[in-house]
Amino acid sequence: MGHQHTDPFRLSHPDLEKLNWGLDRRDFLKKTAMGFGAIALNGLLASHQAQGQSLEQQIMSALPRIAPKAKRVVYLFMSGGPSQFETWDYKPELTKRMGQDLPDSIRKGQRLTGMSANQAILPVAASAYGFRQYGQSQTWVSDLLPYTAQVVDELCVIKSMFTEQINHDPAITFFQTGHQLPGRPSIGSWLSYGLGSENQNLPAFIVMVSKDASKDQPLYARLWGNGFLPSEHQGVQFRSSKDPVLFLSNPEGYDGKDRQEMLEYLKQLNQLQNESWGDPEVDARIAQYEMAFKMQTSVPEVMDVSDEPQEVFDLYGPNSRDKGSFAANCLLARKLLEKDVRFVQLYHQGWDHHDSLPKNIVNQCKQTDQATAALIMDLKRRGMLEDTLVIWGGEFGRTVYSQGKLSPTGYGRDHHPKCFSMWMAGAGVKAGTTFGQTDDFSYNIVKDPVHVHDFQATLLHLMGIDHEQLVYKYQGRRFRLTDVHGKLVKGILA
Amino acid sequence: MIDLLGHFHPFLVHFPIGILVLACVMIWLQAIRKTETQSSISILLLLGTIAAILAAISGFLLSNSGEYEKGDGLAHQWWGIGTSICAIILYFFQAYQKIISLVLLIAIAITGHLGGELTYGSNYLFASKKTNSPVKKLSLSTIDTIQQKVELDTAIEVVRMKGNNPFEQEVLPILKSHCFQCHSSKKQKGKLRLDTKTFIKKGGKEGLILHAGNPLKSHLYSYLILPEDDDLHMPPEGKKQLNSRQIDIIKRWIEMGAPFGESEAESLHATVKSLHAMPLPLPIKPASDEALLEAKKQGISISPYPSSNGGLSLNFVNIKRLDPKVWQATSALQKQVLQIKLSKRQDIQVEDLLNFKNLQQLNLEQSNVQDADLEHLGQLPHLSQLNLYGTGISDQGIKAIVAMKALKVLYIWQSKLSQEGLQRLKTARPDVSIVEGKFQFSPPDTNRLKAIK
Ligand code: HEC
Repeated sequence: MGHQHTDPFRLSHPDLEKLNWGLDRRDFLKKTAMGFGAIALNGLLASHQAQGQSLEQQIMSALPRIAPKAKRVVYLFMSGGPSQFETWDYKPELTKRMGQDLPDSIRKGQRLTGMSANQAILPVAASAYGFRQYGQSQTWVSDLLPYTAQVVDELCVIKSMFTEQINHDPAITFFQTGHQLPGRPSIGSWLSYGLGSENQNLPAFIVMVSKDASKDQPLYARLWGNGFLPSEHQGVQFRSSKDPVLFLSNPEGYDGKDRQEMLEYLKQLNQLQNESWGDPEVDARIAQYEMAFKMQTSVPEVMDVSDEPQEVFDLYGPNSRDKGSFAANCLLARKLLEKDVRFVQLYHQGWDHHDSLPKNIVNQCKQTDQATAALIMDLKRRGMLEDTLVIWGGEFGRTVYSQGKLSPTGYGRDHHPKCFSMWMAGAGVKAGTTFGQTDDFSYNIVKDPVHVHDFQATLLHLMGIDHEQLVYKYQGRRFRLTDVHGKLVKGILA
Repeated sequence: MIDLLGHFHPFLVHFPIGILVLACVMIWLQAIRKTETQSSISILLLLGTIAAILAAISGFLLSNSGEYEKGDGLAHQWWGIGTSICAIILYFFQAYQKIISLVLLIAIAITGHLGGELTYGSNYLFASKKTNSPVKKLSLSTIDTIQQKVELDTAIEVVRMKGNNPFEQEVLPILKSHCFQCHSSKKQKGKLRLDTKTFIKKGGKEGLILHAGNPLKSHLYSYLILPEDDDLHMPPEGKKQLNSRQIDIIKRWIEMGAPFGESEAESLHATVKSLHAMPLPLPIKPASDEALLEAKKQGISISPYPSSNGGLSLNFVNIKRLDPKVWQATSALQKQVLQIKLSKRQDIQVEDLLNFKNLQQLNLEQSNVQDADLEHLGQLPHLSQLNLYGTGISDQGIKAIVAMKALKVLYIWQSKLSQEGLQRLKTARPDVSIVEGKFQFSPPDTNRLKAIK
């Protein structure tokens, strides 16, 4: 008699997998019955796309749902690392210490980047801009953000973010995918994979990059890539050019009349292929063709802002008529969210202020401040803020000391991973609050640190997903957005 | 020493089974083929009988070693003894050997089966078959029929704690049948006893085994789910194992905060905790799979409604036309639906909504609803959030809105409501938060925008 089990699933008991950072099919099924997932599963089974969904995905969609507070997310990614000193983390003490060397008791021997490690002194630089308290919450906001200041009662400002990465590429990759090395799926892809698309005519994950930002640090498509997830979950980039989505419109000279028929045949061929190979990417391919076909009508419609009244453009600010600007993208984001797109990610580059920070950051804030605040108010008056999560933040913070010479008119700030600020607003977060605290130099966190993985876990939670359960097995290892880390930041949940 | 002999039982049992079965087969071969092999048969029977007796003795010792519950293996024991006797008879009575050999075969089969159940748990023989089948179905590359989906779901067990003392009612029986033999007054393997609350709370030689609320941290649970060949797997390899349901019960109990259920305070604490950790006792009967599928087939997006348990939110974005067929498909969900989203639709007939008596939230923004429709909506007793922005609602509708008793939030931005009307509404219903959407930024104070030098 060999090795027999009472229960044939004994060896793959769900929590064993969990201990191994994973979860198996059996568990999903179980949770399905206990939780709510059956719904999503049903959806996938019944929708016309059923054939396009891989088995894993169908079951994946049966994830247990923590009653989701947020139905959609718009993530305003401030690429480059906005300084917390000139935005959200008010440090009045610094004025007194202006120009003094950063005390060792604060730096605690922290390794610096090659850009400032060799400086003879690390002169403390106070913010060149003032702060004032706003709203009922009396939150301190920089004078550079006069518009966001007016909606501050909607925000939950987290001052105690920290990351493990000190350089742009690994840091932004870490934020977007939970890992510093490229190759893992982006947050939006995980959500698309876990929850599917609510609107069958638009992708679940859409990306827009501001054209009006200074491109100091590059962005790459892999930041919104699907990694090892089936490729229909990659973020689809919408551009401001004539073709918002590349290669979507019919080629010149083709009227597209028999497109659907053609796709139907193609699908049959693909299915034949799938039967003999069983490659999930074939499913992905079929799904993508279908989505692309639907997008031929849905995208031009959603990109068309001609119906929007002047009042709306006034709200989003002077740049909002300029296609591709951050302001215009915010307006489009609202339109996409109205169409139930699950995850809209905007990128605005240009926050990497190693020198002349006071001068450069003004423009950065000008480009983004009003439209950001407008987006919040616009969602609010439409009744959408209650189930839409808005996120603002970069990949790390900046140093309290000046990189390079500190002069009365100028200073720069180097990368600082140990603390920085970001905010969330809308669905499920405590409006009008501040979370976490840094020391007088905004160099170390003194209260309620929030790691990038914690942030990601919380984001998933708000969307109704337990971050420990959103797992994909790839090359023999089980992967999660939060890797083997991440804890829910309960303090910011409403 | 005696224990050691007992431990040989699982090894020894294979001999009588093998040898005696062979002997029986040869008896029948000899009868059918008319060949003469009686001398070999006799040798086999002798050896087999000795082996059977040894197996029985070692089995008896094992049953006394305390690793098994008294009485657990009684049937196995008597069948084992019977098998040995049968073998002896067969050895001595060649005349009836054909008949006796059949009896012996049956006895061997029954004894073996009973023994197997002792080690691997009851019903292991059939259980594997049953639970396997849906998974086989699953491994088809896609599941595309409702049939399969339903089958798949029925294969899923739901574990819910019953009664108000889950420890005594559900957990203790499991520990008793699977753990007491090594962790109780009889034996304290790993310096651990599991037979009373005090001992469970005390833990074993490695310290605490129970962290209320955190199953994965609790050895009481985590050891159960280690791979069976892990040294720390409990119950140890080869012992009667817990099935997944039993494991789940222990897990849920720990998640609930591991209430032992004596003091009231404790049970209250446990309920409060369980409210967070587990699905709430459903105030709403969950929708059936068939009902969900039916609605999904029409293209309706369904998701759980926030802060409810069992409540649903329906979104009609993917629906081309709101024809009767669509509403028909949701008829079995009427109790569960708490939110309906019909944004921007121009084909709404509010009568269709009145069947959803539990509706709490209605999104009718930018739709064709009119003042007259609001009166109908007044028939929804729980409607607390109503989005009417961008609709033709005017002052004529105020009366109906004021009459909506449960209303808490109202969006009316860009409706046809006049200023006076709005004012009237506000005075009549100060408890409703009305989102007018009139929002304008005050221009920034440019003086402050200059850097402080
Ligand atoms: C056949 C005997 C046997 C059975 C049955 C058994 N155990 Fe054990 N258990 C042991 C032994 C032996 C150890 C010590 C293992 C070691 O430390 O290497 C142990 C240790 C443990 C420990 C760790 C105690 C400590 O602090 O070191 C836990 C927890 C435990 N068992 C739980 C259980 C549970 C729960 C069950 C029932 C589901 C169970 N055991 C059934 C033999 C058994």
